[in-house]
Amino acid sequence: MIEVVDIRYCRLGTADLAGAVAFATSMIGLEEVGRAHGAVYLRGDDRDHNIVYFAGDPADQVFGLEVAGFDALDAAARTLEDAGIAVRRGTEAEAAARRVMGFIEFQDPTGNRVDLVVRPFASGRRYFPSRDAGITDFSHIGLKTTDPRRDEKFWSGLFNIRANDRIGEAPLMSFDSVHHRIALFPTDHPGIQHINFQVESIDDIMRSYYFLTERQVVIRFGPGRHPTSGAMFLYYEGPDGMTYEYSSGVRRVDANWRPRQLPFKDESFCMWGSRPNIPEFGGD
Amino acid sequence: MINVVGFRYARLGTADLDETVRFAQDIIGLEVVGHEDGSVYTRGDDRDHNICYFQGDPRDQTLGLELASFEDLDAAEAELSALGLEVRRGSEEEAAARRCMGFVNFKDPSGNSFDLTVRPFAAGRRYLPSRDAGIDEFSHIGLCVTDPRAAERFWKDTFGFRTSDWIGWSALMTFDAVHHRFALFPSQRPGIQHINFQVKETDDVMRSNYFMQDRQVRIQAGPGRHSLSGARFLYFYGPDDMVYEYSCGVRMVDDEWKARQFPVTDASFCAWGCKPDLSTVLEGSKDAAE
Repeated sequence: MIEVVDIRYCRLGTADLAGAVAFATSMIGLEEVGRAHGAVYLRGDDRDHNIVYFAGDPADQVFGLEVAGFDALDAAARTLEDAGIAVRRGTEAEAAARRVMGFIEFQDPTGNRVDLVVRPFASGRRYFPSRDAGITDFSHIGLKTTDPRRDEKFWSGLFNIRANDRIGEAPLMSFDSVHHRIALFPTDHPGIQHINFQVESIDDIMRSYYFLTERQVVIRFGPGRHPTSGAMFLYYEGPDGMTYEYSSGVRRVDANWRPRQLPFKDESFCMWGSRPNIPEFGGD
Repeated sequence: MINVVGFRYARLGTADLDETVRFAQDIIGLEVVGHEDGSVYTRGDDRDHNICYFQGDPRDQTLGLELASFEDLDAAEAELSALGLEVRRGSEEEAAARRCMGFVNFKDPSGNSFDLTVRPFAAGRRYLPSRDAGIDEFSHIGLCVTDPRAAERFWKDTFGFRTSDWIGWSALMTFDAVHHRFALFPSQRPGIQHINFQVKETDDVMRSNYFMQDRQVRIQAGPGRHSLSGARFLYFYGPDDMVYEYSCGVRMVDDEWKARQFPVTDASFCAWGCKPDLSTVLEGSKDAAE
């Protein structure tokens, strides 16, 4: 069993690097913390970085999960290889670019690219927001899947990852006490489906709703509240068509939590009555 | 000094009683508790009623406040008469229609009609909502006044109301711990500017936001959060262009509270950034400030 201890970053290709960085700082509220070899590093919490944009194909997307040490990393490589998954060990230069001490990469059965990293960098300086969005941390991603039952079995069979609730065929999964860290949404291709930042309170959700609306940013869903996690949310469109989410008040679960099955309909995504404009969330 | 101890009811004329009652039930979520002599009594809390609608002129509006005793009522009648205001003792029949044991009616300096009631009825049965709006209670009104500074002085000097905050020249006033029971808005003519029901939580405000949108109910402002009281709010239009408000989380104030002056800006009205239609409400304040 591979023990994931954290979700660390997304590396995202973009057709317009300057535009993506401008959106991330002026709209999302991320802090630019560095530039190297054509990549721009940004963050919404005190860790080294959460998002890396680089000039390239927007379909080129990787997310980084952390394991506890080099022994765990070696064991993870063996576990994946034993399961017939191709594993590649990253070079020192690649590790430096990811700002970690070491990593391996693999793909899930859908073809999503994952870095398993060890000793990712902490940061001495705290997060300094570029606008008052109230972001507290990079918290979860939605991940596209071509076969949700197969992929849930992959993640829960090889990793310490289990579903805490399901909406239709979509499992909301976690490796720690946060209700979900990776949520799988069925579609016909791989990719990151949305990127979540937690904000402090409902006030931040609503302030950003009016802030983004005034600036003609496309709101894709919300303001709303998820009946699954209890989190209040706002989804909006960012660079290269990526969906970003602010949310607040996500449920904590423990070992006694029993996963619930919700039907695949609008009210399973929002208990307030807002309707999604996100293909993977359907729409009645 | 007249000591108000309760905020009780609004009596509202309406051009289409059936339509207004349907809106009150299906949209606002009020319970109809009685029909009598062409009046319909509705409520959003456990008291006898909060809003009495009757077929008539929509400008015919009266707000009912509660005094503690008949002695207080007699004293109030004398005090208001001494100020030269139009004061009238209600008949037994009129008191029965207001579902209280006695009252006097008077007009404030702007011409707004008030009933000062004694021993208004409680109810044995609890409030049964007609829809799941989460209403807790009938809590405050916005009041149109022709001279906001004179109106504030009147309610302060005659009734002992305290100002919790100002936005422009508009005073938000109260007689108890709730941040405001009266919000005074400058206007050319008197009237109730909005009627507030408290709901339990933000979930209720937001659920109603989408509920109203789905039913093409016109939202006047919100969802938002008042910078003054801290309450989350939603304003929407009902029949006769009456504005109703749901809100939750209103600030409680005590004797230590120091009133603050806010400028007439959108941000004073909404901390979240909603763009209220304040044309009727705040133009007067701007004029008064010039």
